[in-house]
Amino acid sequence: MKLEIGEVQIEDIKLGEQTKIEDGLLHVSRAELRKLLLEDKRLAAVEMTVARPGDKTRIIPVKDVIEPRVRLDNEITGYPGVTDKMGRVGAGRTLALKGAAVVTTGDIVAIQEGLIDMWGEGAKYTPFSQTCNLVLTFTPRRNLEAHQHEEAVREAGLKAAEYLGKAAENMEPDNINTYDLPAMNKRGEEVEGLPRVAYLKMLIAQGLLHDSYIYGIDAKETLPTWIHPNEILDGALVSGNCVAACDKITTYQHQNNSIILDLYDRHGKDLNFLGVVLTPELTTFTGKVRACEHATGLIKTMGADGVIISEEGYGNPDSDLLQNCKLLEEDGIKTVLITDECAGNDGFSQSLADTSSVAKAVISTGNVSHMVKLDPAERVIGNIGSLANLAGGSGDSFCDDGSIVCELNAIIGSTSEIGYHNLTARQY
Amino acid sequence: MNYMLITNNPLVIEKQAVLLSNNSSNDKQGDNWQVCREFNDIWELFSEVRSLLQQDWKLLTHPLPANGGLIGSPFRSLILAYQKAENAGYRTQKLLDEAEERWRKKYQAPTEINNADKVKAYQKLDLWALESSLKELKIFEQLGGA
Repeated sequence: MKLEIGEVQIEDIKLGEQTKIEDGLLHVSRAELRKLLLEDKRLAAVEMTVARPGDKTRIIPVKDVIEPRVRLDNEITGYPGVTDKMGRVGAGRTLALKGAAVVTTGDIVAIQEGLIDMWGEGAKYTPFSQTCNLVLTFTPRRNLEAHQHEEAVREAGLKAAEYLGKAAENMEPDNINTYDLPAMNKRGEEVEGLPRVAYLKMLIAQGLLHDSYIYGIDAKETLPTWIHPNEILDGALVSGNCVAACDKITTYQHQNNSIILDLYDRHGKDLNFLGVVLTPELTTFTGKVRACEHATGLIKTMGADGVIISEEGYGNPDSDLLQNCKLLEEDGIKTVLITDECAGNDGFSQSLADTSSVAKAVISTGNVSHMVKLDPAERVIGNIGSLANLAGGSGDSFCDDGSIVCELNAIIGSTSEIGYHNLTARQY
Repeated sequence: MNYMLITNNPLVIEKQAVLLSNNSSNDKQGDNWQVCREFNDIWELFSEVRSLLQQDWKLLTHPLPANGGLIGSPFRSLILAYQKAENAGYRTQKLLDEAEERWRKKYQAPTEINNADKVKAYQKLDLWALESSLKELKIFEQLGGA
């Protein structure tokens, strides 16, 4: 399966009359996009604002981030099973508007969203301070239930990203990345003798506003499944959750999954990349047994020598992470776990809610409880008051000088457990 | 099977009849649901769960949510079953200890939350997670493996 992702570099976004790309400038027809998004009768209004890297702008509360893209060699141009009809993605050519992002905002359920600072200290913690963001703030129709509101906003964000992506339809990309992972029986000498490595990707699947979608199917209603990595890179996975903002895996991060990209880089050099297994993080112990046994069973059947396991969220998913590790290690399959830590403001508390002595290779993507102070913003897109309700924020977050104090919990993508983020560990 | 729903969430209590008839396996002959809901605060709820674990009840749902924002919530709903069996190798007593410790660090008493939207959000998210658990259990029991 061969996927080409062509990169069309976007330097800036301008709202205007016509949607087109000229010299790296993405012009967006405000009227046309508004008309498209408000076709959904659940939404009453949408406000569009551009936030650029370096602007003293704070976006809050953020629900999802999506990379604008268009698929060229496939009749499915959108998100299969969500905004478009069902069909397989992951082959052919897709164009991505690099440097641009759609950001959806709006108060849906207190606790559930996060923030992006486009400048200063806050910008260091989120990768979405480096993208030029078209921020969509939605007002729902009255009496819309929170989960219907979330669904409407989720779908609108995807539609907007698809609409913007189409502006690149006839363009030559600045750069093309090719992702070609053949079937096992079609692999040649280049992988002979190399360790066989699989990627086990855990997905939040715990009820309304805590769900993830695989080809539009609610992950909690699926058994763990093998999936070609190209399908994930090409839009088969959509985020419908906001656990804590820091480790919510946005749709943008699914589209640019760092673990998959790194495994591709090393495929045929020092490892043989076997593909990805998606597994739901369920709420019951029986559900956890089912998911962990089945996911690790698939990996054993694939003949993996080693597995990278990434978590989403923290709390009860820590038990799934450790159980997956245990079931694989007991069978002689080496594991590397990627997780963030909930180690308290001082970093001294136990990092994970569950433990296992066989979990020896663990990569931390940061402490969600780490406190940061963020300067006053010149412009707030959204509602700064919602910080009081976010995970990582509180009524005490607001300082007299306009600055805010919060945990990394509140910052979108700050401790991403698939590594698409800015934090790193250095010995000193 | 004897099940117990332990909750201090007023929204769950309000909807318990519908929840247990629509989403659970209580239509199966022999199943029996009890609802334990008289708690002054979440610490009494955790204490009751701890006590039940000593009496051959087993915890069917994980004591921690997956959402950092919900750890410390004043409301929680958990499901137990009466069965003299180990719980699939999960050390539920230890997980409960860990949950309680994390709750203590983040706990917000209902009286400290002066935001009605936030209180409602805590209640709704707990309800939705419970609904998800009940659906999972129904499927597993139909398969004979709850």
